[in-house]
Amino acid sequence: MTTARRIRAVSRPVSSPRRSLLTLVIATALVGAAVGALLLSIARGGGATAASDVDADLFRSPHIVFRSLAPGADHGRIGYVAAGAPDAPRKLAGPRCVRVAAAGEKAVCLRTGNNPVQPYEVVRLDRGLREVNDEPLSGVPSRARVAPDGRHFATTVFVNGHNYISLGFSTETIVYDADGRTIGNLEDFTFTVNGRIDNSVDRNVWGVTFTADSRLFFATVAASGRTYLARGDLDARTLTALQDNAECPSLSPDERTIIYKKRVSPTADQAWRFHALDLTTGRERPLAETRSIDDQVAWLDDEHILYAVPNVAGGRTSADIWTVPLDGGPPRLLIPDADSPTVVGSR
Amino acid sequence: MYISVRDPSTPTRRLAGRVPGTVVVLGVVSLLTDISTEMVTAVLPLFVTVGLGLSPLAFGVLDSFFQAGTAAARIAGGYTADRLARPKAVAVAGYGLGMMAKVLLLPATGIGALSAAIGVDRVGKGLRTGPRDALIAATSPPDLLGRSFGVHRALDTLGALLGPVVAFSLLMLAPGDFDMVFFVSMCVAGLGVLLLVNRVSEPAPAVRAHAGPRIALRSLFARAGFRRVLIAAGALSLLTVSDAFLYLSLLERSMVDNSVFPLLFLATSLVYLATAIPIGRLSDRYGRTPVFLAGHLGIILAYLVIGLGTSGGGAVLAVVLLGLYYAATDGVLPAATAALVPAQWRSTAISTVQTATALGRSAAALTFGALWVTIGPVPALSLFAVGLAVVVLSVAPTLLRNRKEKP
Repeated sequence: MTTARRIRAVSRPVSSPRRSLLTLVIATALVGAAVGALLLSIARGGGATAASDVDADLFRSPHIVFRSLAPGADHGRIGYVAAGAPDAPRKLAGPRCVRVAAAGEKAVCLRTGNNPVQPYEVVRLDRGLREVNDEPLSGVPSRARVAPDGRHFATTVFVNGHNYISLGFSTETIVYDADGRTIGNLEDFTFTVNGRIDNSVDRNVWGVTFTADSRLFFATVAASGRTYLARGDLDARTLTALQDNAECPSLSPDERTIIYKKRVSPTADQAWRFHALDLTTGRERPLAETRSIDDQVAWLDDEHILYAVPNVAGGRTSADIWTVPLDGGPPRLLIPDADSPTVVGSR
Repeated sequence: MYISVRDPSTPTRRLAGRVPGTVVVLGVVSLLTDISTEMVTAVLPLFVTVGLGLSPLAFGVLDSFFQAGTAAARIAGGYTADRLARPKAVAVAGYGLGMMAKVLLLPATGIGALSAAIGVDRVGKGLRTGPRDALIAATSPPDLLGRSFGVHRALDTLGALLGPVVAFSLLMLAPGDFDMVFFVSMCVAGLGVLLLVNRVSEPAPAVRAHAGPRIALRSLFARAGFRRVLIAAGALSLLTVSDAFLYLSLLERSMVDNSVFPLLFLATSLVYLATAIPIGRLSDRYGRTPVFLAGHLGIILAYLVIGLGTSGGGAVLAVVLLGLYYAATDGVLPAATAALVPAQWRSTAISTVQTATALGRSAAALTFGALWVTIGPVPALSLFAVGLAVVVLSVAPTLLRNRKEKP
């Protein structure tokens, strides 16, 4: 009996009045801090510029469309500048996105939606960058491209196994028609390497770039441990490997050059270097940009490309849009605090 | 000697058959911690790709690397808790590290800082699991162990379900503000630690002083009952297909389509959540071993349903079976272990069994992945079903013998 009493005396949860008060104070502080952080964040995000009409010539004369990362209420919204005056103040329009792409009087915006179970979606935008409709995506947004004629668009997302037992990441790339109907998951297309059909089950496809008529396209196909630059055909539902070690291709407006990132080192620091493939001669050469950049480039014109470079200086995670010419000239910062560039109105 | 297994806070007021308050408190601590952790897990891939501009592929590689670290931390946590006879202190350290990880995330701008934060989180998770389960076992009467673990696991699962909802709701209110999500997650983790520190006490030291001579660790492993559980749990886990692969199989067999896919994990968790407590009670009444083995029969059935099924109905059945499997094994295994070992080595025993299970499942994932690629999902599932049935049948006779022996 004495033992039992002693157990009770020793093991009762400590609950002196002073300690209870301290606990209450700390708990209140924690709840208060969490609520305060949320309210502060909402307050900072409030007062976003009202969605206004976009310039009537947005899709008629060359413009760079991007995701604006300038701090403040409009962080993440679509921005655009005239291609000839990239230093002019950016104009903002449309919704907030995590990826944006525009072409052929259409745009798509990949973003987080309202469903916590399936949190990502692709939103189609019209020429006024107004929302038309949305479709759920099955993973974290990675790439988006609209065909030059606006008849098709493509999205790439990272699909992950659930966190408890991670399968590692795989990608899913879907091509849609102009009305947002799915044309196909590119993993289901017949993939041919050196004339032989490859049925490997670990196949992944990402980074689509369309030709002018948008039936043909290029993409990256990973299969059996290699990554290929492949040419695709939406009608035949085929993908044909052209060469290996080439990711996230981007076809020039004159359709003579493809830029892709080529893995040049197994280390994460200096993994990739942009290379240009001349489709008429088959010659490949590295660009003057020597930093390792993980992006699918966009074409400013037939001689210059655009891409985003992460910029995490000053404790802020952001990115800037850079440009580099094909002729070997040095890269140059074009638009600070922006990523996800594409160019419209150039044809 | 087993006086310490009574709930010290309410020894006389305990109504017959009610789970001790401390177990509920530990459950709420896990609920808060899981909300906090799953909030981060849910938005991390987006933060990595969009916030930091990094490829999540580089990030996926880290995962397997950390698994080994978690295993080591788990053993260390269990052993330290027992050596110091302070399971609560080690659990506090583990939950504290979990909170610390969210602090480290705030300034993270590169893969290095991110890996450090994830590493700290995994070490914390490893450290706390064994001591926490030992606390549940120490405060719960032996005849209520299964139900106590059921209550804890139900609350734990609820937290894991709420985490992503909270995170994406916050991102909806404040788009792109990952730092705010990490900060809120840190505060939620802090509440969990605070609750643990203030509302849970170490199992009474007075009892320890009266508990007689210290039992050597060797003698823990010399106990036939414990060895049987350890070997059986390890062997069974070697043939346990991860749910991610089961969901992919359902997709591959066209039993579900892409739109339903994200709901599979949710549905499994809901079944687990709903059945953890009743199945825990069943294990108290009919024995933990039979329930544990029945859970494995459930997952064998799930393999067969997925392998042979063709319809959405099959998918529903498979998900229900998978949820029942978790309810019949995840909390029941530590309950069974705790009842078989001396109180002095409870944390170590539970940690060891859980580590064996975790390593076994990792090996199973590798094997199954390789089989999937070479012979396809259906033959792979059939092989695992047959293999698991053989293991269940071979461990059942020895394992069931535990019921007749008292530790």
